[in-house]
Amino acid sequence: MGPTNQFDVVVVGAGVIGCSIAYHLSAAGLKTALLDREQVGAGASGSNLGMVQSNDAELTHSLPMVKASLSRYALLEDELGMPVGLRHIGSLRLLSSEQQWKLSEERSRILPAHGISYEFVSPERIRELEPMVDPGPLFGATYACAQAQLNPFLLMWAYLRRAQAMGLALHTHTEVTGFIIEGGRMRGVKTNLGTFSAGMVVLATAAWTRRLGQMMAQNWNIHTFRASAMVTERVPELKLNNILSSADAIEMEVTGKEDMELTVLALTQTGDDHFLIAQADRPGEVLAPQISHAAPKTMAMMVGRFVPALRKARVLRTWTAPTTYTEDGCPLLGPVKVIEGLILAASYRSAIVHAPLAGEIVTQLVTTGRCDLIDISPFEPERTMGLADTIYTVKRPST
Amino acid sequence: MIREVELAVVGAGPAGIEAAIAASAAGVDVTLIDSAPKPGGQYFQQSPEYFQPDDGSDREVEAKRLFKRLCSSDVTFLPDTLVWGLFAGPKPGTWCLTLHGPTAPARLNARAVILATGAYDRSVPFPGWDLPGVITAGAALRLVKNQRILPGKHVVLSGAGPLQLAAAAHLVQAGAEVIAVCESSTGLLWRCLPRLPAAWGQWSRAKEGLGYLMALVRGHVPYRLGWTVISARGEDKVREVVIARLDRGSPPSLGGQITLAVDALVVGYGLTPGTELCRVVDCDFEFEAYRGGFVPRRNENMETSCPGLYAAGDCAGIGGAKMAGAEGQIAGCAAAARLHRLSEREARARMAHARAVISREQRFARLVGDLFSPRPELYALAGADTMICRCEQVTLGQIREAISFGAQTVSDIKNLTRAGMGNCQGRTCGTIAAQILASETSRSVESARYLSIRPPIHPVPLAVIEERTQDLVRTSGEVTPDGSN
Repeated sequence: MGPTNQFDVVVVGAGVIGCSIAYHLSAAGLKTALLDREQVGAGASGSNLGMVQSNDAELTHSLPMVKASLSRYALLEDELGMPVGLRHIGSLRLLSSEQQWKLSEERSRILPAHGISYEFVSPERIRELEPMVDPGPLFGATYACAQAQLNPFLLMWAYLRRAQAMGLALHTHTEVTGFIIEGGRMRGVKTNLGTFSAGMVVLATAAWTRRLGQMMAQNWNIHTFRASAMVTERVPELKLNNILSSADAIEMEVTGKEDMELTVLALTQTGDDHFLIAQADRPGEVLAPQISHAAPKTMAMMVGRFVPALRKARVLRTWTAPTTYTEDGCPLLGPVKVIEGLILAASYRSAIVHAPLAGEIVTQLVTTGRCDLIDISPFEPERTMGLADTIYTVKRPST
Repeated sequence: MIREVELAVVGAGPAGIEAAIAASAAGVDVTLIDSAPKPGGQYFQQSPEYFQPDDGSDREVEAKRLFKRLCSSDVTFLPDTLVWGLFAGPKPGTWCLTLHGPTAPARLNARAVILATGAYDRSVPFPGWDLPGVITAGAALRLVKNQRILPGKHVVLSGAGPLQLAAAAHLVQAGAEVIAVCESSTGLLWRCLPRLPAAWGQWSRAKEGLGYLMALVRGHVPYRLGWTVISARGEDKVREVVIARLDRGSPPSLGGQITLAVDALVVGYGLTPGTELCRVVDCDFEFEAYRGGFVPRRNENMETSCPGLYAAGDCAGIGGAKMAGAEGQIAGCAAAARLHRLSEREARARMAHARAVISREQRFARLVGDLFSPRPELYALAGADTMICRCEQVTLGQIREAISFGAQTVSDIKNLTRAGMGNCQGRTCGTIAAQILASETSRSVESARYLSIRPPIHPVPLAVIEERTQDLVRTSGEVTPDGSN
C-alpha cells in the first residue's frame, strides 16, 4: 500500500474503548486509523448487556477512574450529537447465603463513601423491588439503585460517526499479523490488507491482547473466559425494574450427571421490552464466536429458576464472546516501557463505564507523553508479566 | 432426551432424501429430520391425503417413486421437527443438533451431518410490499397445491424467473383470475440463444414450462416482459397495484404505468439459499451471484469447511431439484465413506452417475441464474418510508442514515438499526440491505458481506431451550379435516 497508509496513530480494536480512543485522537487533530480483525463491536463490546456499571468496580485503585469516566456520561449524548439509549437502572445482585453477603460487605462500606449507592436488602425488599422474582431460596441481595444502561452499538457508532467526520480511517476486517519495531521504536503494524505505518500504536484489544503481545515477546497475563447471552422477543406484559444477577456460580446438569456446568447469571429488560440474559461461561482462551451446546440450556435453566414467568417467552438469538480479567481486577493501561510508541488500553472490568475517560487518557499520553487526569501507575502493563500464568477456574460451592 | 446417531440429515426434500437413502444403503444409521409432517420438501410437497392430490403429473410420479425408495430404506424419519441449533458436539469431532418436535429428542448427537435445508423466496422491496395480501410465489404455490386455498380471486404476479410461471399456472387452474404476470427480466430470447447448449437435454423442464405457458395462454393471462410491480396500495390489505415497464437507467425510468384492482399480489424474484445452519457454525462462504449470493464453500464431496458437515441441494446454492438429488447422493456416499461404511473407491463408483448429472445441471443453473437475477434497478423502487426489515420495522430511510454513519457491511447496518435482529434474523432483509448498501456506496454486493446467524435459527420458547417443554401450554396439535383438534 502507498503513502495513504501513513498515520500518526494506529488504534487496534474497534470496541467501545477503541472507538472512544479513535474519537478523542481524531478530535485532537491526529491522523488516526482504527483497525479491527472483524467489525465494529465484534467482541465483548457488542455482546454485553450495555451496563454502565460502577458497582462492580475494582476497589483499591479504580474508583477515581470510574467516577471521572462516569461523570462524562452526563453530557456524552450532547457531545456526540446522537442518543445512545442511555437510561438509569438499578442493579440487584441476588445472594444465596450469608457467606455471599460477607464477600460484598467491604464493597458496601467503600462504594457509598465514594458516592456510589450500594446496600444490602432483605428478601422482603427484593419482593418489593422486583415482584417477578421469587426470593424464596435467597438470603438477600445487594442493591445499587443508581446504575445505568445504554446501547453499546449506538455508543460505538456515535464515536465513529464523529471521528470519521474528523478524518478517522476505519478499516474493519483488517487483522494485525505483525508489528514493525525498529530499535525499540514502534513504526507500524502489518495486516492481512497491507502495512499501516505510524509512530504510535494503541492496543484496545481485550481478549486478543495476549496474542498480539506474544508477537512482540510481551507476555501480558490477561485471562479469558467466555460470556454467553441471549435475547427474547419483546415481552411488555412482564416488567423487570432492575438488572438482576446472581452472585454465585450455580451448578447445572446439561445432558447428564457427568456433564455439569457452573454458571453466573445476569438478566435485564431493555427499554423496548426485550429480555437480555447473560452468563459467565467456559474458562480458558476460547476466542471462537460459536456458542457452546451447553450455554443456551444453562442460561434458560437459570432464568427458569429465578423468573419462571419468562419460560414462555421466545428466544430470538444467542451469542458468545471472549471476555477478560486480570488477577488484580485492574486494566492494562499506559505506555509499554520496552517499546516506545506502544500504548495499551485493555482488559477493563466493565469496559463501557471506562470508555469516555479511556479516550481522553490515551490521547493525553499520545500528545504529551503523560497523564494528569488520574494516577495510571497502578495499571502499568508490565505488572502482569511477573504473575504466574494461572488458569481461570470456577470454584465449586462447597456442599 | 439425547439420541446418538451416526448421520443426521436435515431437510427431507430431493437432496435430503437422496442423501439419506444413499448413506443408509451403505449401512449407515441415518435420521432424516423435517419440519413438515411428511417428506418431500417444497419441490415434492405432499398434500394431506383427504385432498386426494394425485394429478398424475411427471413430478407426481417422480415423487411417488422417491417416497417408495425412502419407505423401503432403513432411514429413521423425524417429522414435524424443527432443528433450532447446530453446535460442536460434546465429543470432539461430533455435532449436536438441538430439536423441537412432538416426537423428537431434545438433542441429537451425530458423527456427521448433511444439511439439505433448501431455499426460500427472494423478495424485492417496493412501496406496499409489506401489506397483507402480498405473498411470495413459493407461498402461493404452497397454499394452492398443498392447502387448496386461493390467496385471492384477482391476482397479479410480479417477479423474475420460472417459479412465478408455475405459481401463475396453478392459480389459473385453481380458479383465480390472474390479471397479469410481470417478468422483470428483459431480452430473454437474445440472451438465451447463444447459450442454448446449456439448456440442451432439459426436456422435462421444457415440458413443464410449456405446460405452464399453455395454461396461461388458455386463461388469456397477459405475460409482460420487462414489467414489474412498482407499488401496492390499500388501507387494511392490498386493494390495487401499479405495474410499469422498467427501463434501464439510474434512476430507472418507469413507462406505461397501469393501476389494477387486486385482492392478492404474488411476488417472487428467484430464491435465496437457506444457509442458516451453515452460518450458525461459521463455515467458510463464497459469493456466487448466479447461485443466489453467499453460499458455503464445499469440496467435491459436498463437505463444507467444517469436517463432517455436508451441504447439499439448494441450501448450498440454487441449482434445482435434479442437481439437489445428485448432490444429496454424493453427500450421502461421502458421509458413508467418512463413517467407514464404504471404501473410498466404492464411494467414488457410486457417485459417478450423480457427478454427470451435476455437470449438466450446473450449466443450466448458471443460465437460469444469469437470465433471472433481479435487476439492480428494482432496488430503487422503495421509498424512504418503505419498510425493509419487517420484523423490527426498519425503513429504507433508517438504513440510509446508518450508511451515512459509515456502515460498511450488513452487520454494521444491523447493529445500528436493528434490521435483521428480529424473528427471522435477517433472512429477507439481509440480502436487501446488502443491495442497498452496494448501490448507495457504489461498491459490490459481495463487499457488504452477510449476517451471522446464531441459534435458535427460528424463535423457540425459553422452555424448549431449557428442555422443559412439559411446562408449555399445548398450542398445536393434529388438525383433522373438520378443523377440530
